[in-house]
Amino acid sequence: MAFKFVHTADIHLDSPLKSLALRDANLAEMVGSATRITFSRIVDLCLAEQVQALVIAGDLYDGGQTSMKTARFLSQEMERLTVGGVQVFIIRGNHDAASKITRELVLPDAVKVFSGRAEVEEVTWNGHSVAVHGISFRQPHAPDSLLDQFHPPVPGAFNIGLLHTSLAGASGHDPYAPCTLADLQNMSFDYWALGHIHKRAVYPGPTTVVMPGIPQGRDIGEAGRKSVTLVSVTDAGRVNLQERHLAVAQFERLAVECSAIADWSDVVETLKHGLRSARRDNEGEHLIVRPVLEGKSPLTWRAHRDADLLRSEAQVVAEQIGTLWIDKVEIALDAEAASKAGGAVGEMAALVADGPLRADDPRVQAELDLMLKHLPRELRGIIGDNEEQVIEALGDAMRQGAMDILARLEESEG
Amino acid sequence: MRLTCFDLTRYGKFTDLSLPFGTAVKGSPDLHVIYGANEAGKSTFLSAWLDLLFQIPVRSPMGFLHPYPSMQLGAALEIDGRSHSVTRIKKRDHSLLDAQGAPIGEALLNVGLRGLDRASYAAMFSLNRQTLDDGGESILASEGDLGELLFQASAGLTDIAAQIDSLRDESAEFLNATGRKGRLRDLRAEFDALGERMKSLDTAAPEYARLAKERDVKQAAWQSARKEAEAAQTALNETERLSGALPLALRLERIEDQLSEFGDLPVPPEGWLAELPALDREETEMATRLEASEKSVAALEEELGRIPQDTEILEARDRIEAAGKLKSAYDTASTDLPKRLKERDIENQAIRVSLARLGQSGAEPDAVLPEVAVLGRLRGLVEQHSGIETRHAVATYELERARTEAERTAQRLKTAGGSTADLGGLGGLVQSIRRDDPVGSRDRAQASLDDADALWQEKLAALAPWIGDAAAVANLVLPERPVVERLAAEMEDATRKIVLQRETLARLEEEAAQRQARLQQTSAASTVTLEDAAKARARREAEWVHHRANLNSETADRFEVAMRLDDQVAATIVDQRTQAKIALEAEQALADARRRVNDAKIGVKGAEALREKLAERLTSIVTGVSPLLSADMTAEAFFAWMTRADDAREALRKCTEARRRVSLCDSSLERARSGLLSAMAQAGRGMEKDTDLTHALETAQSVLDHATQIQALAEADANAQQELARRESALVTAADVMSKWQSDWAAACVDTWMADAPPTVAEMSAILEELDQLRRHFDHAADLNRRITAMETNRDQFAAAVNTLTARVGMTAEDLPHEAWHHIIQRQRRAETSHEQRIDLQKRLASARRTHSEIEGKAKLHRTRTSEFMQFFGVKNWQQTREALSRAGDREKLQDSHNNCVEDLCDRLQTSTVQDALKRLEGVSKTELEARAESLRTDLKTLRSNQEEAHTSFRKTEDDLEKVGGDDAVARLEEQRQTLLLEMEESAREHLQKRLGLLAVDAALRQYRDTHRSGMLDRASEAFRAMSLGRYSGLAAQPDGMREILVALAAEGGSKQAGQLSDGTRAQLYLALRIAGYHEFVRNNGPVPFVADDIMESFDDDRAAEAFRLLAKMSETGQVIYLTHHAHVCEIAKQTCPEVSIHELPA
Repeated sequence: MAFKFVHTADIHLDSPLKSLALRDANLAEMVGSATRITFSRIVDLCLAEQVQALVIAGDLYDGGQTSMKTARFLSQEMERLTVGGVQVFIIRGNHDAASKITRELVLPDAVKVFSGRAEVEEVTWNGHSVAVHGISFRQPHAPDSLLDQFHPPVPGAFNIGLLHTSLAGASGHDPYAPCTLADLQNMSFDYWALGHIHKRAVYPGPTTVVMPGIPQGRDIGEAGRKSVTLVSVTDAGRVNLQERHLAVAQFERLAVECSAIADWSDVVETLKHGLRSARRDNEGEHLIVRPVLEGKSPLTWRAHRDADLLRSEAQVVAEQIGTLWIDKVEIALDAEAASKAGGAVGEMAALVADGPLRADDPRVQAELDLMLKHLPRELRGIIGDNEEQVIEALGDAMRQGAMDILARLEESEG
Repeated sequence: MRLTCFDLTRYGKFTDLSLPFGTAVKGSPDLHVIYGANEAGKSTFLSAWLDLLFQIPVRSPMGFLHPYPSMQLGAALEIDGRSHSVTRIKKRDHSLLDAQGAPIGEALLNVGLRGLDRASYAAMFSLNRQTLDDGGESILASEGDLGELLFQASAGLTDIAAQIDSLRDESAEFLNATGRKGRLRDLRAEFDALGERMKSLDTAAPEYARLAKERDVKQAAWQSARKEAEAAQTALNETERLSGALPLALRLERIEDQLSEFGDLPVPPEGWLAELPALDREETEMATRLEASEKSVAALEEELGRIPQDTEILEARDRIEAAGKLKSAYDTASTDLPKRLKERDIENQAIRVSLARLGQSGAEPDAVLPEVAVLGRLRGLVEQHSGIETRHAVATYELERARTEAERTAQRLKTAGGSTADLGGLGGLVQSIRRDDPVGSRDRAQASLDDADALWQEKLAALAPWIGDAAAVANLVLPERPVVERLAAEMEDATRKIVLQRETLARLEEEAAQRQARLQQTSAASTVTLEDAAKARARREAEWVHHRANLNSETADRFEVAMRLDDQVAATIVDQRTQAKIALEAEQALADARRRVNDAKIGVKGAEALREKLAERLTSIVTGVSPLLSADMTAEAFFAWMTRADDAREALRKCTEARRRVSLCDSSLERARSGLLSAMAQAGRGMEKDTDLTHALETAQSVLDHATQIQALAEADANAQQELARRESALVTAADVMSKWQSDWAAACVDTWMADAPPTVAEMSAILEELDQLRRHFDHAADLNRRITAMETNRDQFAAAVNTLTARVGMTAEDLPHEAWHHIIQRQRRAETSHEQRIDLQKRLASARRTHSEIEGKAKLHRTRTSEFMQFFGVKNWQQTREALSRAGDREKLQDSHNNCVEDLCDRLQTSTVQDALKRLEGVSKTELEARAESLRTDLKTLRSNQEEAHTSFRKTEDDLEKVGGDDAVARLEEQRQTLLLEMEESAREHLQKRLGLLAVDAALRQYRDTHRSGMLDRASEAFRAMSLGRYSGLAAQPDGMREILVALAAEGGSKQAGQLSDGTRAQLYLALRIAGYHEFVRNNGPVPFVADDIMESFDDDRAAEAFRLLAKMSETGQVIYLTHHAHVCEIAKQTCPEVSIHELPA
C-alpha cells in the first residue's frame, strides 16, 4: 500500500435533519447534531486508518448558515487532523461560496483550501509524488464547465482532481460546473474526487471517478445508506475503493403493499411486519422510516380515516424496537378498487368527485389566506409558488379532505 | 318495527285490555282502524303507545285509576323479522322488561324506531290533530328539528350537519375562524421563541469579524503600554542601585582603618581559635580532679583495717548444715512421742475386751481371727439362707391354691352338662343366609314391580283414542318414521307453494287491472283529423296570397291568425300519433298480463291437487296402523302418537321384567328356608316343617351360642389341671436347695475355733461383727508400735550431732541439745556478716585506685598541648596565650566584613572590581538620587495601571471571541426549529385539507338536499293532489327572501300559502307531507308503525276515502293504525281497502 486518503463531500455541517420523527425528544437528543457527529466520525476514520489526506469536494456547510459556532467546530476538527498528521484538501461548492462564515473561518496551515483559480498542489506521500488539483466556486452559481481551467496532469505523479459538479445534470435543476463523465476521463487524472450530487456513484476505469454522496442523509428525500470513500492506492498505482458508512441516522421509505389485503387488522399487521423487517434489513444506528401504504385497496377510506391509528400502531412497534423511528405514515392507496360507500354518503361522494366548489371560490381563498397569514415566513409557499400550482393543490386538498370527512360520516352511518 | 299485540294492562282507564293486530301478509295492506266511542280512550291509546316506546313520563296524567307503581303496558313487537315481547312499567330506570320480567335496554326499541326520538316520532308518524298542524307548519317553515328531520333523517343523513359542525369545531383546535386561537399559534410562538434563543446564543459571521478586529486593536494597545512601563522601571532600578551603594563605600573605608590597628600579630593555624574555650576549661578541671581521687583511696584503706574475721566457725559451715536437717525430726519427736504412747495403751485394752466378748479371754488375737476366705464363705451362706427359706414357703402355698382351683373348674364343667353334639355346617349356613337376605330382596323386587305396573297403565291410557291391552300394544305395527317425515315435509311444501301461487295470482290480477285503467286513459283523447289539417293549411296559403297582394296591417293580422292555427293543428296531429302508439302498447301489455293471470290460476289449482293427494296418503297410513285412530289426523299429531306408542311399549317391557324378578326372589327364599330346617334336624333340633325362615334362623342361632359356651368351660378346666402339676414339682425343687445349704454351713465352720459347736445363723452374724472389731484394734496397735520406735531413734541422732559440733568449735557443752544448737547458729551468722563487709570494701578500693591513674594520664596530655601554644606566641603562661589567641580571632572577623562589603558594592554597581565601583560613586549626591527615584516611581505607577487596563480590555475581547465556541447548541435549536416547521407544515396541510373538505362536503350536502327535497316534493304533491280531489295540482317551492317556502298550486291557476288554505285542505297538505316523508323514511330506514288519531275530522267523505287509499298504500310497506270515533270512517275505510282490520275499543 502506497498511500491512502478519504474522499467525502456535501457535509452540510449543522444542516438540520427534517423529519416529524424528531418530535420525539429522545431521538432529537440522539441525532440532533447528526451532521456534526458524522463529520467527527470521518475525522476519526482518517486518524484510525492513518490516511495521508482528507479530500472534501465542496459543500462543507449550507449557504444560509451564519453561525460561527459551525465554523469553530470545523476548525477544531481540522486541528485534530493536523495534529494527527493528516493533510486536508478542500474546495468550495455552491453552498460554501454563498456562505458568510467561509470568509471568517480560520483553518490550520496544513489545510489547503483551493482558490477560485485552478491550482495544483504537489506533495509526497510515503515516497510517492501526488498532485492534487482543485478549484473552488467563487460564486454560488457556476453555469459553465470549470474543466478547461485545470492544469494538465503532473507527469510521474498520482493526479487527484477535486471538482464540485452536477455532472451532466438533471433538467429542471440549475447546472453547477457541468461536465460529462467522458470530459473528466479525458483529463487523464488518476482519481476524480467529485461532490455536489447527494447520491453515491462510482465510475471505475483508467480514471476512477467517484461521487461519494452525502455522508448523512437529512430527510426522506435522502433515503438509503450514505457513505464516504476510503481510497487506497497501491505501489503499482492501482486504486482500491472502500465504501464506509458513518451516518448516525438513516432514512428509509418502506412500501407496504395492501392490494391483496381485505381486512383492516391485516393492514395493521402488514405494516408492523414491514417495520420489523425494515429494521432487520438495515444496519444503521437509527432508522427513520416512512411507511407508504400502496396498492389498490377497498380499505382506502378507512386508511384515510384512521391514519392516526396507523401512526400509533407503527409508533408502538418503533418504541418496542427502540432504534426505529416513524417519520410519518403515508397513505398512497388507490381507491379505484375500493368499494364505494352506498346510501347518502355514497351519493355525496359522487357529488364531491364532481367538484362542487371551485378552487377560486372566495370561501376557499378565505380559508387559504387565513392560514397563510398565521404561518411563519418559511412556510408561505407550502401550497405552491404560482397560481397554477396553488389552484391544483387546493383542488386536490379539497377532494382529499372531503373524502376523509365522508369516510368519517360513513363510519358513523354504518 | 310492527306492533303485533298491544296490552294496556293497567294504564289510564284501561285494565287488562289486549288488542291483537294479527300478522302482516307481505304485499297486502297492514291497515288497522280502531273504533271507539267518545271517552272510549282513543287518545289514551295514542299516549300509551308513545309511553310504551319512550317511557311513561314522571308526571303522567294516566295514573288516575291505577297508581303509578302499578301502571303497566305490554306489547308483542316484530323488529327486523324477530318477535319480542316487552313490558313497560313506570320507573325511572330499567322500566323496559322482557317476557321474563328482566330489564332490557332501550336500545331494542331505539333500533326498532330507527333512532327516532319521542318528539320526532310524535311529530312525524304518531299524529293527532294538534301535532299534525304544529309539525306541518314547522315543515313548511323548513326550520326547526322537524324540517331538518324530514329532509335529512328521511334521506339517511340523520345528524350529518351536527357531525360536520363537530368536525369544524375540531378543526378550530388548530386554527379558529378568527385566527386568534389554536395549536398553530402555539407552534408559531414556540418557533419564534426558538429563533430568539438562537439569536441570543449565536454569533454570526460579521459579528465575529468585528470581534476579531477589536481584539487585534486591543492587543496592540496593550503591547505598547507594556513597553513604556518596562522602560520606566529600568530607569528607576538604576537610580535605586546608586543610592544603595553610597553607604557601602563609607563602611569599606571604616573597616580598612580598623584592620591596620592589629600590627604584626601572627596568624594562628586554622582551628586554634575554636579550641581556646575547651583548653581553658581543662586547665582548671585537671587540678581539682587529681586532688579528690587521692583522698578517696586513703579513706577506703583505713576502713578495711577496722573489720574482724571468725574463720573457725565459717569452716564448720557444712557440718552445721547437716545437723540442721536433723533438727525438725527432733522437734516432732519431742512433741508427739508422749501422745502416741498413750494411744497404744488404749488399743491394747480394747483388744482384751473383744477377746473376752468372744469367750476367748487369754487367747492370742492371731489365733482367734480366722482366715479371710472362711469369713467370706460364712457371710455368703448367711445371705443365701433367708432366700432359700422364703422360696420353700411360697412353693408350699402355691401348691395348695392350684389344687383348690382345679377342683372348682372340674365342678363347673360337670354342672354345665358335659359335651355337645356335632353341629355340622349349621354355623356357615346361618351366616350365608344372613348375608343374602332373601326376605329383603323379595320386598324390594315387589316394590319396583308396583312402580313399573303403574307407569305402564299410564302410558297405555295416553294412547287414546286407541284402546287395547298389553298384547295389543306389543302387536302394534308402526310405519317407518322417515316415510312419515318425508310425507309431512312434502305436504308442508305443497301448502307453501299454494300460498305463493295465490300471491302471484293476486299481484298479476292487480297489474292487469292497472294496465286496463291506463289503457282507458290513453284512449280517451280528442281527435284532429288530417282533413282539418288540410283545411288549415289551405286557409293559410290563401291568406298569404291575399296578404302578399295587399301588404297592409289587416291582411298581416289575418295571415298571422291563419298561420298560428295551422301550426297548432300540425302539432296536435303529431301529439295524436304519439298517443295512439302508447295506446297500442298498453293494449298489448294488457293482453300479456291477462295471459299470465290465467297461467297463475292453473298453477294454484295444480298445487292444491298435489296437497290433496298427499293428505290421502297420510290418512291411509294412519288407518293402516289402527282403525281406532282418527283418519284426519295431522302429520304432527300422528308423529306424537307414534312417540307415545313407543313409550307404552317400553313401559310394558319394564313391567314384565319386574314381574320376573319377583318370582326369582320367591324361589331363592324357599331354598334358604328348607336348607336351614334340614341342617337343624341333623344337629338334633328338629322343627316343624312350616316354620318360617326368620324363626328358624333365630333358633339356629341360639343352638350355636350354647355350643360355644360349653367349649369355653372345658378349656378352663384343662388349664387348671395343668397348673396343679406344675406347682407340685416346684415344691420338690425348693426342699432340695434347703438341704444343700445345711451341708455347706457345717463344712465352713470346721476350719475355725467353732468347729466343735457350729453356731446358728443369727449367732454367726454377731460373731462375724465382733471379729471385725477385733481385727481393727489389733491392726491399729501394731501400727502405733512401729511409729514410736522411729521417733525415739530421731531424737537420739540430733543430740549426738549437736555434741560433736560443740566440741569442734570450742564451745562449752550445754544440757539440752537445742540450746547448744541456738548458740552455734548465732555465732555463725555474725561471722558471715563481717565477711561480706570486707569483700565489699576491697572492691571499692580497687575501683578508686583505677580512677586515680586515669586522671593522671589525661593531665599529662593537657600539659603537652598548652606548652605548644605558649611556644607559638612566645609567652610564658596560659593566661597570656589566651589573650593573644582572642585578638587573632577579632581580626579575622573584621576581614570577613571587609570582603562582604567589597562584594556588595561590586554587585550593586555591577562592576568587576571595587576600584571601578568606587570610581562610579565619585561626585554622586544622595539627595539628588532620591529626588530622581521618587519622580520615576510616580511615573511608573501611572504606566503600570495603563498597561493593566489595556490588558484587561484585550483579554475581554479575546474572551468574547472565545465564547463563540464550537458547540452544537445553536445547531440543536435549529434542529428543533426545523422540526417545528415541519410539524406546522404537516398540520397546516392537514388543516387546510380538512377545512376545504368541509367546504366541499357542505356544498355537496346542499346539492344532495336539493335533489332529495325535489323527490319528496313530487311525492307530497301527488298525495296532496289526490287528497284534494284534483282541486290542487300540487306543491311548489318558491323563493321568499333568503329561504324557500312551500305553496299549494290551485288547479285553476295561482298559488296559495298554507295559511290561506281552508282547515281541511291545510290538514290534507300536512298529511301529504307526512305521507311523502314516511315513504322516504321507510325507503332509507325500514318501516315503523304509523299511528294517527282522527286527523281527518275536517275531511269530507270523498277526500277521506282518498286519504285512506293513500294510507292503505302506505300500509303495504309499514303498519298503519288509525283511531276514530266515527262509525262512517270505518265504513269508508272498508270500502276503500277491503283488507282493513277494524278493532273496537270497549265503551
